[in-house]
Amino acid sequence: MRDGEAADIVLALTQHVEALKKEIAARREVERKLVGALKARDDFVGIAAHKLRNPLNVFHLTLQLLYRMPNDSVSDIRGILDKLRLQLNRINSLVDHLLSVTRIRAGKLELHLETFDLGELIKEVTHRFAELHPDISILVRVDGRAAGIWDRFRIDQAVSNIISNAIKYGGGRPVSVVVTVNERLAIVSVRDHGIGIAPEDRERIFDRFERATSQSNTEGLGLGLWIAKRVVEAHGGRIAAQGQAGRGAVFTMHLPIAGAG
Amino acid sequence: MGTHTILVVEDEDESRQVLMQILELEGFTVVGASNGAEAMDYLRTAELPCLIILDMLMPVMDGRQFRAALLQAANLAKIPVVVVSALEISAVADLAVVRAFRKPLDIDALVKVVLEYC
Repeated sequence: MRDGEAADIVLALTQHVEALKKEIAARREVERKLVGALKARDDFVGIAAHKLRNPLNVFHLTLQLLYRMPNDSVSDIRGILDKLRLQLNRINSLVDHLLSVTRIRAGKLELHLETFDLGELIKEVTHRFAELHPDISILVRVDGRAAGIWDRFRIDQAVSNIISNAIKYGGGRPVSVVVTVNERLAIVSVRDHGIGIAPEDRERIFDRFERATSQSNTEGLGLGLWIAKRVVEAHGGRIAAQGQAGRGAVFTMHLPIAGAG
Repeated sequence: MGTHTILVVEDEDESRQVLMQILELEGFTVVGASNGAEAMDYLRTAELPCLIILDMLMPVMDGRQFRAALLQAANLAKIPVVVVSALEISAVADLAVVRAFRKPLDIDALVKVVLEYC
């Protein structure tokens, strides 16, 4: 073998070894990400079970309270039934979120489009929250008729998640919801005056499980904003968060009035 | 123990309030705290309770930190503690508590334990 041929073979082998090393490193990186994803999923399942146990526990305790109440306390029963309804709503909302995340992940978020007035829906949703949170002032302003073609259930879910988030992090201060409309878009802005959002968190908060895994004692699964974003995007719209740490937050949904596109 | 008061330490308002109402209907005197730090504040100023019912996952000071703080104080270490948590029983096995329950809570079993100490 000539020296030149031997050198070529050594070079080829060296390149092959380098390529193999890169391949191994790439596979290790994939493996690391997969292990991380599996851990995130396991953590999430644990947190979801925990979050479901809390309202179930209250429901269970409240039933026990009803059994133990004296017969002459019928007037208190309505208040207790209201508590049971509230806990059922919480359980229902958690299960809705779990089902939504499964559907969105599987690419099965089917939209059932119909024509309706977004302003009217927003009023319904805010009325629901006002009943659940009588101590928090929720202000609503609808500028003009905002009729469009959307999936009523999903838009209700997205708006509810945004308002729920505003109440959760709003520090008990007023939350305002404003609906405006132009030729192409219906725009819903939800403003709170709570802990706000640091600029570096404005994108991250829309990630799945983002809050759930960092603060297990906060209400909900940390899926609300992620679901809201996916729902708005499925309608051809966009959603953004603004605000600064300690100075409240504004979430704005832009929805094309012609519906999903 | 100084009193027949039960201290319920639970961050979730609804859970705490309903549990307190049930225990009051059972004839006990009950006070509530929404986290371990609040409970420690109460214990510093009030007569010692006959029993502490303790949740684990709480903000500010969680159940594990609160239990450790109790065990470090000679007068507080002897107060019996019952854990009521969504966690597995095995997750609190090292806390030296008299009993641990999982949520949803078996209230009759809890009342039996309470009657032993209060």
